[in-house]
Amino acid sequence: MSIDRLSALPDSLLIRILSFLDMKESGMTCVLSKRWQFLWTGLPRLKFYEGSSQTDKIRKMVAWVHRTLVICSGHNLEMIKIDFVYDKCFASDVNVWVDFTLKNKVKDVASLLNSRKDLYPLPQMMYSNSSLTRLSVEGCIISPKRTVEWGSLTTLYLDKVVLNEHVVEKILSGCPVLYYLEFNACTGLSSLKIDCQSLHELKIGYWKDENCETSLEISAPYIHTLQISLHPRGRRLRLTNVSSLVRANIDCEVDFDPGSVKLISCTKEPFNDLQHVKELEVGYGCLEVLSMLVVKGWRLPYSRRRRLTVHASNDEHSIPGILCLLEYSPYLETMVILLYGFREYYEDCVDISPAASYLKKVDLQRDLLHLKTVNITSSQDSDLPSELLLTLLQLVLKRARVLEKMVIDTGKFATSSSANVASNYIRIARMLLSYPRSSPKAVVLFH
Amino acid sequence: MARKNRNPVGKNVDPEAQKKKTRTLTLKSSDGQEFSISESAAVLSIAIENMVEDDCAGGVIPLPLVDGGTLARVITYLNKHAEDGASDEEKRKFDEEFVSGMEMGVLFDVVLAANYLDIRGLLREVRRRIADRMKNKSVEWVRKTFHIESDFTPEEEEQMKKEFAWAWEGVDSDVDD
Repeated sequence: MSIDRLSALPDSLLIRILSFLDMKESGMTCVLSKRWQFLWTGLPRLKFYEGSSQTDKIRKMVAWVHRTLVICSGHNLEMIKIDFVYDKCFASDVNVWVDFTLKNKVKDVASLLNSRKDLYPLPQMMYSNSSLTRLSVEGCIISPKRTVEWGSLTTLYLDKVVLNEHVVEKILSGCPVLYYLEFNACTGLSSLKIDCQSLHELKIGYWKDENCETSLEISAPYIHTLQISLHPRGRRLRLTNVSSLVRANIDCEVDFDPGSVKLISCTKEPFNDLQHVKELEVGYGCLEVLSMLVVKGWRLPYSRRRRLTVHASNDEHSIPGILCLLEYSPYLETMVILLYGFREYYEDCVDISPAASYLKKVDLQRDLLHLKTVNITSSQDSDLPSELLLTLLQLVLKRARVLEKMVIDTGKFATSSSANVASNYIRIARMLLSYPRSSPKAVVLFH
Repeated sequence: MARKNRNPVGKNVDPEAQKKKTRTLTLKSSDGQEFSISESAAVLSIAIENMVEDDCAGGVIPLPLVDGGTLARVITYLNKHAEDGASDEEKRKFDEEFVSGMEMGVLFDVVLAANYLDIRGLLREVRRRIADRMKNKSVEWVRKTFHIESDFTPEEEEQMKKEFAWAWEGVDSDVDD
């Protein structure tokens, strides 16, 4: 007879085990035995998610949330996240949940109400909540009648929210310790002014356009880190004052509209506005758009950046962009290339034919005088450096006068059992080691 | 798109840390087996660290709640995590293999030992591994796998399933993986 060692574990351990399961799975454990009946209600983080838009499924979830909150009331709840396809018939239910978070001083609240038609008006009571440290809101109407008092809030995420200057000002003046702010798929505003000194990081995803041709002007003189994601149907972004910025990340969503003329033109602006930033990270989509621009003759402005990270494919969709970034970063000390293999999608949508010829004649105009470290990291067998990337690396070895090391980190690839991959690896290693190096102390390492 | 975040390997050159590396401790299991381990590896266990700090570590540290077989496993884990030059990636891979090969009984021995010795990383890995065995499984399957005997009447169980109808939506996979 085997003994039940699981049920014999202390409650604290079992609750931690349950927290690895999703809410449905941990809720189901209530019928295992009486030992388990209420264990799951001790979970400190309650995350409810229903992806279906069928009303009967949503009703079941709503009933379940109500039951759970009744049982969990009084526990020390850290987080409540509710994520479902909202309809206005559920407004009073959501009101009850919001009341619950207030009454129980829940610190981390996520109300993600993804809806195609109805928006949920956040209750006025919620605007005065000193317990909140993190708030995520999707598909809600934010319209505080009085002041906003979120004295402990450090992280705020707004998704699909209609904004105006007045609301943004109220929010920012009511959050004295706000550290991270993210907007995604929001609408409204002609300018975004962020004068709050505590804000360290700002992230701006797709900003809905509404046929508005003017740019969204962003002034955030105290932020340290900025992430922006450009979108073919989104607003253009102009960064008018980001003088304290140290780190920036630019990406473009190109998955479904790669050739968009607008995307191409609005990608230029952030590169102009972010010349002073020391550390730049360029996302996969953005590098691709940049490569198109470069092939068509556009040149980047010279930048003072010291560190560059690119998320790249192995081919002509990325290499021209990397070359151009190198060329126009005369102070660059570190370059990191994260490889994602060859692209597989929309191969025919984008005209990249000039790229091949562009690469044949291309060279760097001048030596790389500060570049000390180059890191190439890939995690899959298929992401071995291609011929094109090797050409680029050859150029770097030739031109980087003070290079100290070039590290090729192929992750699990090095331990791959495939003989084909292994021989390819050796061939690439040999080629890389044979290239002339202008820096006497440069080493090439394979991990 | 997944972004990789690799922290550089921390190189500790502080003299106290050097001393810890050379000093060895002896751990004694419940069944009387003794194991030598460097202090730097042993103190990854918060419980052992406290014992060392309270200076009860003069000679041998007795661990009356951990048997020899389990202690040997735990020591393998500690040694790997105290190893110089092991990258985070390497440790992560080690952790994955370390727990994935464990039989259920061993898993419970190790989770109790890690809990008692307060080894956070190991505890998290084992808890995750146990949770993986419950993921996407029916109640019946979980009961069978872990030998859980239900003390509900069939009527009580039926009633609860009705009340928690949402939890049972779309659960059907019972494949052991």
